[in-house]
This record gives sequence, C-alpha cells and structure tokens, in this order.
Amino acid sequence: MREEPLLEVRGLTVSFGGKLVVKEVSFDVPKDSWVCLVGETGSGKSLTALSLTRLAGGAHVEGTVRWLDEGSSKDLLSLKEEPLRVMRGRELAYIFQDPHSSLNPVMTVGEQMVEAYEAHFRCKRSEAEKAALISLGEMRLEARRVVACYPHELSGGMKQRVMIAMALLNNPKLLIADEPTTSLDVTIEKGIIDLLNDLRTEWPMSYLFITHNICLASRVADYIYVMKDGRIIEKLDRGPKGFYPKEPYTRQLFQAGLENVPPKTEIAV
Amino acid sequence: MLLSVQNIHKTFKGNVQALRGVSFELDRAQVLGVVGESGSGKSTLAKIVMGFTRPDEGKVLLDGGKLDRRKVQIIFQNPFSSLDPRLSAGASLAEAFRLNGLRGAQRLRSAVQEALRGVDLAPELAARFPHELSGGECQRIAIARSLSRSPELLVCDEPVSSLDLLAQARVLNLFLKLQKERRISLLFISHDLRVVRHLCDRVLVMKEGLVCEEGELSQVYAKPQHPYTQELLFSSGI
Amino acid sequence: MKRLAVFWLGAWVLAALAAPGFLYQAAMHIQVSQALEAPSFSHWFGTDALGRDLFLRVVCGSSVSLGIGVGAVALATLVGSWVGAIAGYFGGWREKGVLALISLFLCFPAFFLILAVMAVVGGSAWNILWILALTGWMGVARLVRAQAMSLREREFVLAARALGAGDFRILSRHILPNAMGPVRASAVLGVSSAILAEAGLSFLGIGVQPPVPSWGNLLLDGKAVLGVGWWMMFFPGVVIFLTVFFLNVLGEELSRARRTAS
Repeated sequence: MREEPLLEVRGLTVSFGGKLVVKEVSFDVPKDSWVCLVGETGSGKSLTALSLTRLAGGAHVEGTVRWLDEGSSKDLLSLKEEPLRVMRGRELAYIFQDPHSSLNPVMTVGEQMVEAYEAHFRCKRSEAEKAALISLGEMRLEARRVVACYPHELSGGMKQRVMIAMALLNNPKLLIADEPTTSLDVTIEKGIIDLLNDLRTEWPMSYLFITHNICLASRVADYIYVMKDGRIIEKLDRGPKGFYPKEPYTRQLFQAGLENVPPKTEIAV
Repeated sequence: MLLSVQNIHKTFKGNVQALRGVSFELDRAQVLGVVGESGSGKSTLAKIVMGFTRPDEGKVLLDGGKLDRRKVQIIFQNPFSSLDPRLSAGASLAEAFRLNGLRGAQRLRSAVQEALRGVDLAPELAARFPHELSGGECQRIAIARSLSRSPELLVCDEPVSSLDLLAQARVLNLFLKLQKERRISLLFISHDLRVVRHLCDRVLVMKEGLVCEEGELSQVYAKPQHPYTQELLFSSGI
Repeated sequence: MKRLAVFWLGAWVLAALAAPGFLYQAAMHIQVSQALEAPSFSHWFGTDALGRDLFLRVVCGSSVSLGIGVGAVALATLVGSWVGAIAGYFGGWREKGVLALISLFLCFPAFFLILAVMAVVGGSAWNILWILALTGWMGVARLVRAQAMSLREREFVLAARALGAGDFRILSRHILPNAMGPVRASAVLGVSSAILAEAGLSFLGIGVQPPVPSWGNLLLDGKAVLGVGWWMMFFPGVVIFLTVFFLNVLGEELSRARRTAS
C-alpha cells in the first residue's frame, strides 16, 4: 500500500484580481521528499505555494489542501484563521526569494527569531534565545555574532541562511521555498542547497521548492511538477539517470536550460 | 585585434577596488565570456569598455584607436529599463535610426519593421509600449536598437539573467545568429556558466577585480587551473 | 467629488475662454438706473454700484483670474522644469549654480517680494502673472532635479548616449517627459494658490486694476457696499472658494493616484 503523502492538494483553483491564475492544480508532497514546482513567470507557481495556507491576500481560493500527519487529516483551506495560523510556522514554514523584504531592517536577527519563536510557544525569553542560537549554529553560521547583527550587516547568502533558521525554528515538517536561491551567486547557492540536503538527514522534512530553473530542480528534486498557464502539465519522477520529460513543453524547458545541448547550436524552442 | 583592454584599474569612492589590473583581447566575430560572481568587477568592466566611466589606469583600444561609439553598443540586464517607458517600441527604434542620420517618415517606418523582423519579432509590436511586452521581447527590441548603428562589438551585461528560460533560449539563438551572419563580436558578461558555455569561444574568469583564468572555453571548462574556476564549475553542476 | 470638481472647473474654464469675446461688452455695460439690485432672474448675481451685471463680471473675471493662475504656473513649470532637469542631469557646476539660485530666491519671503515689486511696477494682470511665476519656479525645479538625478542612471538613458544622442536631445525627449510625474499634482495645487494670491493682491488694490474685472477686485468692490449689497462679496467669494477647493481636491487626487500606481 502506498504510503500517504504529507500534503495532498486536489483541484486547487485560485483567482486573483478577477483573473483565473491557478486552474485545478493537484499534486502530492510525500513524506521526507524534495518536490519541485517548476514553471515560467505567469505559470501560477508562486500563487499556488502561497495559497496552500491562504497567505495570498486578495486571492479567492478553492479546492482541498489536505495535511496528513500522525493519523489525522485536515483540510487547510477549510480551517478557521486561528488554527491555520498555528499550522503556519509550526508545521509548514515558508522562505522567500528576497531576504531583504522578509527581514525587518530595524530589528536584529536575534530579536526577530525570538519573536518568531514566541509566536508559537509560551516560554521564557531565555529559552527562545537559546533556540535561536542553536538554529543559527545549525545553519553553519557564527551564531553568537550573527544573532546581534542587523540584516543590512549580513551578505545575501547569510541572510538567506537566517531566513531558513527562522523557518526551521519550530521544526516544521514541510518547508515551502519560493525561488530561495535565484538572486544568489552560484557558489552561495551551492552552499544553501548542500545545507538543505544536510538538514534533511538530521531530521525528516519535506521540501516544496518553487523555481523557474529546471536545471537546479533536476539536480535536487525527487519529484518535479511542471506548471504552465496555471495548470500542471507533467509530473516527473527521478529515474536512475535523472528525469525523462515526455511533454514537448517540458522538453523545451530542459533544452532551454541547456541540459545536453551541444554548444553554439540553435536551441529548439 | 578588435578590442584590446590593457591593465585596467578602477577604484570607487570609499576605497572599493573594482578592477585591479585587468587585461584581455577580443578578435573580430569572436565571443568572449566574462564570468564572475557579484563583486568581481564585471559590470564596471562593461561600463569602461563602453566609455561610460574612465579607468584610473590602463587603456581600452578599439581597432587600435580610441573608443568610437559607432562601433560599440551595449545590452543591459533589465530589459524593461533599457527602453524609455514613455516611448513605444517603434518610437524607440525610430529614434535610434534618426540618430544615425535616417530621415523621412516612410523610410523610418520601413527601417523599424525591418529591424523587428531581424530579431524575429512581428512588425505589429512596434505600436506596443514596454510595459505591454514581455521581458524577452523588450530585450530583443533593445538588441534591434543597438544594431541600428551596425556595431562591430556588442557589450552584453547579463543580458539573459532576468529572462525566463524560454525567452533566454530565444535571445541566445539571436546572439548566435548575429555572430554568424553579421560577424559581430560579443563581450558576454554573465554569472551563468552554462549560458557562457553555450555561446562563447573564449572565457575570462574574474574574482574581486582580478582575472583568475583565461583561455579557450572548451579547455578552461575541461581542465580548470585556478581553484576558483574549479569551484564555480563544480557549484554549477558542470 | 472628483466628478464635481471636474465639472465645476471645466465650466469656469469654458467661461474664461468665452469671456473675452462678446460677453466683455455686456459686463462693462453701465446702467446706473439698475444699480445695486439684489439677485433676480434678470441678474443672477445681482448688479454692482454702476448697474453692471455681477454674474457677467464674475464670468469675465474668470478669464483674468484663471488666466493668471494657469499662466503663472505654466511659466513657472516651463522655467523650473528645464532648470531642474539641467541641474539634476549634469551635476557639477551647473547643479551648484542652480541650487544657489534657488536658495537665493527662497531668501525673499514671496509675499513681501510681490508687494514690493507691485508697488514699483504697478498693478496689472501681466505683472501679477510673471511675478507669481518668478516666486514659484523653485519648487518645480527641485522636484524635477530629484527625478532627473535618478533618471540619468537609468539604462535607457545610457543606451541613448551610446547611440550618440546629444545632451539636449536626451533632456528633452527622455529626461523631461519622464520627470513630469510629480510636477502635475504640484502644478494643480500651484494654480489654486496663484488664484488665491491674485485675489489677495487685487483685494488690497495692488493687483488687477478696475475697470478690468478679476475675482479679487470684485471682492474689493463688494467691500465698499457691504452693508447694502451682500451679493457683491458673496458670489465672487463663493466662486473663489469653490474653485480653490476643487483644485485642491484634484491635486490631492493626482498625487494619490501616483502613489498607488508606483
């Protein structure tokens, strides 16, 4: 019997500003797996990710998003606001592309992490501070130094690690990342990807990675869902030698990503 | 030798050393890739080759002589801010032709249509404004505009980094076509090693204002000598 | 509210454009037998001390008052935007010179400067127009300078330079059109304060001189007969008030629209 997935999305339909952006999207995120949602601008991938926990303001969301954990199942979209808020951050966490706008420039890293922790657990401040230090250390950062820094004193890669530390403070089971490495240099990106892989060996977690970079997805993902114009057009499972796209659009994306394309030749798009 | 860059130094206010002795050469109809991460100085290099900034030390020689704006043009990273938001695509292109000496409404109109066809865009797009076009279309219009002066060298500063994959592929195809058909040289600055591998004949690897490694692309990628080059290739999954 | 504003202002703009023609004679037509009559169907706003129809005089006054308001702002905007664009685009000594000039002009409190100049050259519509422009160009220059400073680094400007465009071309075709955004809202507000300034000056007697009617000097006429002819101050006053009010509404609307668009 197939094991139940952690997150089961069926018929997700999202309208934004009067336009239908996400059309009947269905996918699974199995336990302890890395799922990538790949698409170009306008494919609806970011809105899909935000809509899973009704984070997109002004969007009208329909469908079911079932969270299956420890024998129980809940539909996130039909939860009231307060239980949903508890789920966010505790069971599912988000990280976004631009750490600049995700971090408050007038608070130190430590203050922000403590605030994130205290939002979910009633505890003494010292306990929250300790948790923050541990989390930062796990990100391979100099915890004591970074915790006292303001965001502008940190580099892009360090800020992203802080974002991950904040997201993982409460040990969520699913991390949803929207283009987390797109604005980073390639060596920094490698560091973040390695970190994410290491973290998964230390405690079980699934990742839902949103990206337009199909090459990156094919390097890290167990499963790839390809989105176009608000729909999922193909699901790819990792085979022994990578991914074998069947749909012409997916093939075009792989070609455009310059996978196995001889140099100085015309790319077939 | 079309372009000869000799020992360029450039320091900004606050003692930021952007370029610390960069030299290289570029031949006609050749594509030189310049790879590096942020802070490597690649954008400063683009501005200096274009003559937007003067180097503190060193020389840039184009065709053995001083920089001639008629021979070099530039393509920027952000396609939307490369075009005047208040002008339609056709108007931007027409202005470029007018600056080149072309007169007469009818001749300008046909030059614009010809230019759009040359970058594989439908002539109907001439009436649209930048905010009504996609990133890839804007970038191709920027390329068409730069071609109006029949340049011999195109400086491309991360021209596909802001584009979606499919748009990127179309623009890369266009660059290949330009190199083959019009024998234009490209100074192609990018942080994406795969894109550079696809397009370039030679490559220059920069780090913190210095050139770490230089050579034929196939050689550098197959047997990188400098540890930084190795790290870049490894991180890119090549 | 916005529609009301446009309707009111549109009506007075039409009136101002129509006035200098045939209405002018009618407004100047003195009929002492009908002096100081209260508002009625034949004279909507009543008549003044010389029997002239007040409504027609207010309509003719609109061409003077609105003309001064719009004209002063247009002139200030023309001068200020070019000066500001040159300062912002070139920097260097040009910018320093312009900033010094702006500081110099700002040293003189506008109102006293206007009074002093009017005392010397005498009151007239044209004099008011150019003195208001002279005290108003600085604000526009500052706004446009700030816009030009950020525009000059934009890539489409660099591209134009690479294509061989000269400075004048870049300023007129690329910098100025893109810099005018914030100027629109401030221009509308500028018209409203110019109208108030003219009203104030004419009311003090040093603005537009009779018999040419302006909203301000109609108020002055009204002051003289306040006891027996309330309509003489009432109607011009209400017209000035509503015009200024609606201009402010439009100006706020314009700057709000800009903020939400960006």
